[in-house]
Amino acid sequence: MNVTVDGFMAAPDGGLDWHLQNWTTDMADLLAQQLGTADTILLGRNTYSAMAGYWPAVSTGLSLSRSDLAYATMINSYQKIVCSTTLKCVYWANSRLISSNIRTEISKLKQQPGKDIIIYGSHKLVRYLSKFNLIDEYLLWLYPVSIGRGIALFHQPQKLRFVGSHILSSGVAVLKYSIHPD
Amino acid sequence: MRKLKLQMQISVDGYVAGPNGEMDWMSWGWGDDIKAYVKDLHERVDTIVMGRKLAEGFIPHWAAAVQTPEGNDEFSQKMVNTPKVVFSKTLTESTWDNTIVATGDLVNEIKKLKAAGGGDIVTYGGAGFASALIKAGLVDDYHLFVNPAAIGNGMPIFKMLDGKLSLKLVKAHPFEVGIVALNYMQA
Repeated sequence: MNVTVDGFMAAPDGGLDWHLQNWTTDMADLLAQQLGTADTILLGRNTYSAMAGYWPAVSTGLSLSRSDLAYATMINSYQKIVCSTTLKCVYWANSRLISSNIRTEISKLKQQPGKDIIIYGSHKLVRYLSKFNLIDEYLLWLYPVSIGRGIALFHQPQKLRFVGSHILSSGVAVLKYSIHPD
Repeated sequence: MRKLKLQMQISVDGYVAGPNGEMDWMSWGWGDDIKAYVKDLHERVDTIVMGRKLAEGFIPHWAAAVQTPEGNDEFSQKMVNTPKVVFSKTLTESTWDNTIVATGDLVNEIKKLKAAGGGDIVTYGGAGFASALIKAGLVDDYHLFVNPAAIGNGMPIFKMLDGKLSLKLVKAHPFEVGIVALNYMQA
């Protein structure tokens, strides 16, 4: 999850102009490494639409660096679960739509054997899942920027346990937290 | 020119205090690693600036700490002995030791302090005071102690800015207690 130093996932209008324009190799590598711990990607409608309009096309192009290409291959082949009550169908390869009983469906998904489940962006879905304590870990990519106001990641108090950190050459501090057992 | 350093505890969601000033989300039981970091940060500091609201808690707290056997350590003594400037619209004179009250325009006063010779200046807030310093672009060096807790709502320090503030990450230090110190400079 990309967040600003003041805790926002996006500007009030959903804008992401504070994201870095140039991705560094270490960012792409870490992104692939983190995705490698999972086998399923969970997305809300907006984030799904943005990603589905990008990754399937780029994986066929030659303009990507090797690490970006590796990531594109992963993300296209992974199982993607899209939670939306408005979408009618999803076209991205290996995608599946959940439009009702989202809480139960996600709980069931977590019970299944396999690797972890990762969510990108999707602030409404994150808010919904955190309300029902369905999120176990936060991987925060803390950008070296504040935006003053925007769409917050956290909406309620949440005790966390610091797991580890990783500093990227771009100045992004990646902080990993698990939910505190208390 | 002297640097103005800001050292503040902050929640993972960007608040320096709860809506009513709550501080219960902060991690205490600091180990030697974080104590050494703070000591190092204060090595060149010879002035503490703060808002009146924080001063009313801060100054008596440290004054009392040095009166007790367990609280009378090097750091407490430093907090008591370092000259302090408290900014206030309501106070006219200081009733605290080693403290003067500044009633003039915050930006001008801080600029004057920075231009005067000496060591570095540090501030610990509070939220309103820090916000005003950040808005005016007066902070040279940020030390944000990110605590392992989200509080959902509270007092921010970057909200008074109208837009984006880009920072440059100098270093990040994770500590045993679960706090990560993020050191940023103005970009």
